[in-house]
Amino acid sequence: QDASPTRESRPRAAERLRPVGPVTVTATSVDWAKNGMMIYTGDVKLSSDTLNLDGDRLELEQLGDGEYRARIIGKPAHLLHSGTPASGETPADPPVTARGRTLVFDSKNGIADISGDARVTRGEDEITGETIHYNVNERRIQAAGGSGGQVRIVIQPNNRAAPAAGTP
Amino acid sequence: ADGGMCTQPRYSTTPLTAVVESADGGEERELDQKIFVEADSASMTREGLSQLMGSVRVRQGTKEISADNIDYDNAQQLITVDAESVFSNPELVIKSGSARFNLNDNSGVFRDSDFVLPTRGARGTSGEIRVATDGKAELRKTSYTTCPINSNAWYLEASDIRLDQDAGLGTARHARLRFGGVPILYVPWFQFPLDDRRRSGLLFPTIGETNQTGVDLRWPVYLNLAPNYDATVTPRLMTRRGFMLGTSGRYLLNNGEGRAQFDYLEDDKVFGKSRSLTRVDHANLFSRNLGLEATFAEVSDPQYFEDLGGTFASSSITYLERSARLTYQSPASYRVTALVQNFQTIDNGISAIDDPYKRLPQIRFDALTRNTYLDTRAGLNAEYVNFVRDGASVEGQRLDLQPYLRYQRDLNAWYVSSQVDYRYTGYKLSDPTQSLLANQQQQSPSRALPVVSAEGGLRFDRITSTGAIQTLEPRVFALYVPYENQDQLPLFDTGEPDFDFTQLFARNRFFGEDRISDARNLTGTVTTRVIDPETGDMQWSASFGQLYRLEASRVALPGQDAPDSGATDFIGEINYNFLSHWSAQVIGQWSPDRAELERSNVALRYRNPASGSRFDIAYRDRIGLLEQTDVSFNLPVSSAWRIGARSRYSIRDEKTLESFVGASYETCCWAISAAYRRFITGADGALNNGIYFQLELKGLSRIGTGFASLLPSDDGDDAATPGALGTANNLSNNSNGSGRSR
Amino acid sequence: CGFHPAGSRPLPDVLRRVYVDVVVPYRVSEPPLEASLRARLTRQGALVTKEAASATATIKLTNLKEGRQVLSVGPDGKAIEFLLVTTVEYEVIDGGQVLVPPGSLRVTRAYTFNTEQVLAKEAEEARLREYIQDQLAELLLLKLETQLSHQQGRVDGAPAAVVDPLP
Repeated sequence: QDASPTRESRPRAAERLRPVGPVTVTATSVDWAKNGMMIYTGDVKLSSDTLNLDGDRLELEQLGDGEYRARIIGKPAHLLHSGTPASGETPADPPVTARGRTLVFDSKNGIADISGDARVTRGEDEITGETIHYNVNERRIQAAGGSGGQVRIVIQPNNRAAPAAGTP
Repeated sequence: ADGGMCTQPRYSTTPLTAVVESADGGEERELDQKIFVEADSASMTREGLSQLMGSVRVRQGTKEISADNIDYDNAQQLITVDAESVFSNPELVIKSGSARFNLNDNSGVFRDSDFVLPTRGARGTSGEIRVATDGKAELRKTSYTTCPINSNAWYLEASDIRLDQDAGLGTARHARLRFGGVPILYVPWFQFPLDDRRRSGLLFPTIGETNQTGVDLRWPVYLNLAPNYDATVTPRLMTRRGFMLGTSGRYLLNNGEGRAQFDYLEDDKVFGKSRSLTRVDHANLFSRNLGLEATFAEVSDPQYFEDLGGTFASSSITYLERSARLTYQSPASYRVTALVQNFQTIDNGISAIDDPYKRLPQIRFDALTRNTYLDTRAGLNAEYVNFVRDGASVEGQRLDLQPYLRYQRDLNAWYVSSQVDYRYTGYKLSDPTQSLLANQQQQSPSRALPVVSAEGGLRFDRITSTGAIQTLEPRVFALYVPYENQDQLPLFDTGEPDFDFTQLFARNRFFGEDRISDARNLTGTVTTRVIDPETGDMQWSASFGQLYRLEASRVALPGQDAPDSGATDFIGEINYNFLSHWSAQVIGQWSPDRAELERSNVALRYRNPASGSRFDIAYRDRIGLLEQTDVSFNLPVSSAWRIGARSRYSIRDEKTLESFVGASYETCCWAISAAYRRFITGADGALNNGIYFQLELKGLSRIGTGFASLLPSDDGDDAATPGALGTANNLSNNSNGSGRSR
Repeated sequence: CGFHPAGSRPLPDVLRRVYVDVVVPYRVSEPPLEASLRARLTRQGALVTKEAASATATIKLTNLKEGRQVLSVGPDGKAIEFLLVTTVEYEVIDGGQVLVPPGSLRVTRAYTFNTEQVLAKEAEEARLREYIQDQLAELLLLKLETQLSHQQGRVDGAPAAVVDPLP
């Protein structure tokens, strides 16, 4: 069944980047844990206008004022932060996806912590590492290799300037 | 001596060709542009600015930069490193104090760098390296050397070096060459090769001091004029004689090739006149069956080689050939050759009348039927020659016709062959001085006589106790030539050769057609060879032979007496190869009536191609001509040092004819060799002694065009003139290969 | 003493049909080495084919170099004895396969020189060079026969050194 807690949208400082709008969660089953945390299991999808998360199990914690912390576990769990079109002189932002065994998104500080074979793509670039922090509001990615491992980034050079023929 | 110490430092930790894993396995071209980053941690802002921390490596295609921290701006694809970083691509590795590199257009600036050219084994330091988009690199305030990291034997200091990998060229400006810390050369502009393509440039100096020339400095310059022709210009400064310019060139046509050389000494202070050497060798094919071989050599005066030759080989030259030979080989079975030939004799002990005759021209026609009738083939050797000679001597034309029948049966176990020819030789003589030829009869003398020979041999073999294969071939040869008085025939091209093994089967005791010796001879020889069953190499072989004259010959060269009847000298030759690198040879020619060795030759030889070491010792004795010992060796004494020496001593004249001592020290980035030489050079037995040095800085000139080694070369022709270019660089030709296999 | 008439040792099979490929740039006539090798092969029952395709092996001879060095000089420093040095590189291949790895042979012969008989000495030199090339052909064939029958021995399992009864 579809249980979607409604939250009236209070005008906030219009940080254009923060995901706003109603958040809907769909899952095959839901369970109210005692500390006010709701546990969704089975094909869980949490979507808001710009941010979508999905996974096998969601632990949703309401933080008041409409803020929440969602902890998604999946094999893997996914995150999609849609891109924004270019406006005026600010260039377009490519969509960002993330996946990992565990995604923890805190709507107040707007940071998604991806861990467990974390992999984030921004446009055609791709970052893999042990843990990756994606600041959704500032679209900033910080990755760390974790114990001994290293972060790997594959950047597809967007060919704004035509690449020079041949390499030295 | 390419030991471990020759490898240049490797700055980059991982092999240059990075192992690339990429999630979606883009195809090659697209992969080529992808940038792969590895770091302990990374942070990427929205505008594409990334800070990469902790043993960072950024790779794109074959380029790679690694450092502790790297800032990367994806918008402009600009890498910035303000700490030590290592940049590498297949041609250039740069360890720099600070670096800016644009991955998009492959340009970059590196400061305070050490660099390595891995493909060239060269390295250096540079205040600032600018890599341009087209791959050219400009290095300012730089040093360049091919010496390994622990040795600064030599380096090139320059305010500016440009490296152009595509052209394979390095260009240095305001360059000082330091050898052992001492500046030995300042050149405002200097190019050096970055690969093995043929490239114009300085070769290596040879500095010497001889009593004939005083200080003798040669510094050849190689000019790569075109893919199929090049030249070497060798300025040569001699303090006692003056400045000489030697130019030599090579050319490759689509079906021929040749070399030309012209050395010119404007004013020889000792000789008082100008002196020159001209030399041309040419060979080409007009068609599959028609070929031309031409050679020309001329010196301005007979003492040229003695004064300027500088090597034992060149100063012993006594004549220079000039000839052009056209050969037509018909696929059927005949061959026509046309030759024009004369000589410049430069042995001033020879008076003009003894100069060799010029052959202007000589036409030969040699034919032999291909198929046989009753195992017999018919053949004809015909020759027309017009002999000319300056000075008061008989000249004339000679026609020699030699039709013959040859019977031959050649089976495995035995062979028999015999030849019967009837030879006519006619002359048309002219005597410019009207003194030598008295009457008409001598105007056109002629001679006609048959020559009958028969030959047979048996062939045996067996397996010896050690398993080796041994062959045994006894052979007999009989010759009958009637006597005809030939005293009034001129002597144009006839002489008596050495009496050796090949002469036992000769159908004429002389070479040349002016005299045919009468003969009633029987020759017997036996040859045996033992072959190693594993390698097939000859372990040892022995040949013995003797000629028996049933009657004394009566034809003889003027001033020589004809051989009398009976057994001639007994000839023996033994060759013995042992211990895989050693070989010995004994040749003996025993005269039964004088009971002494007419000729004896004992030689021991050591050749080890792997280590390049050689040793020879020989004793040569020919009654009335020479008795000499000849010792030479060329041995590596360490991985860098090599010494060589040769001494030829004449026991008969109790004089050392040539002595030579040489040494070379070679490391992987430079080589120096020195040679002291003393040899007889003048007709009066004057001695020329000299010492030569050669310095090679590897990498500053194309590898392989070093210098003709001063140490004695093993085989082939001695280099007529020292410093002859080691021609490792062969010419290429746009059309297909010039070699023609039949 | 155990000698048999030659021919008891059969020619290695691979040499039965053989092509002789001599690379001598700019020469129209067949070098004596090739003529002698052809005669020796034919005498031992081989068929020397016209082109490589129809042969079971190609004897490739390259780099035939005829050099002359000054061996001895007289008291006046002039050459009185020359050494003729002839070297050739050989290899036996069958299509791409190497039957006998590349190797080289060297034969030398000394002869005296006399400036007053330049033309006669030139003819003597030519004859000696021909004799040297004939010797090279003999040594080459002995070497190839041994190495190829050695290989064939291993292939057939029968020891190569066994002497067959007279054919």
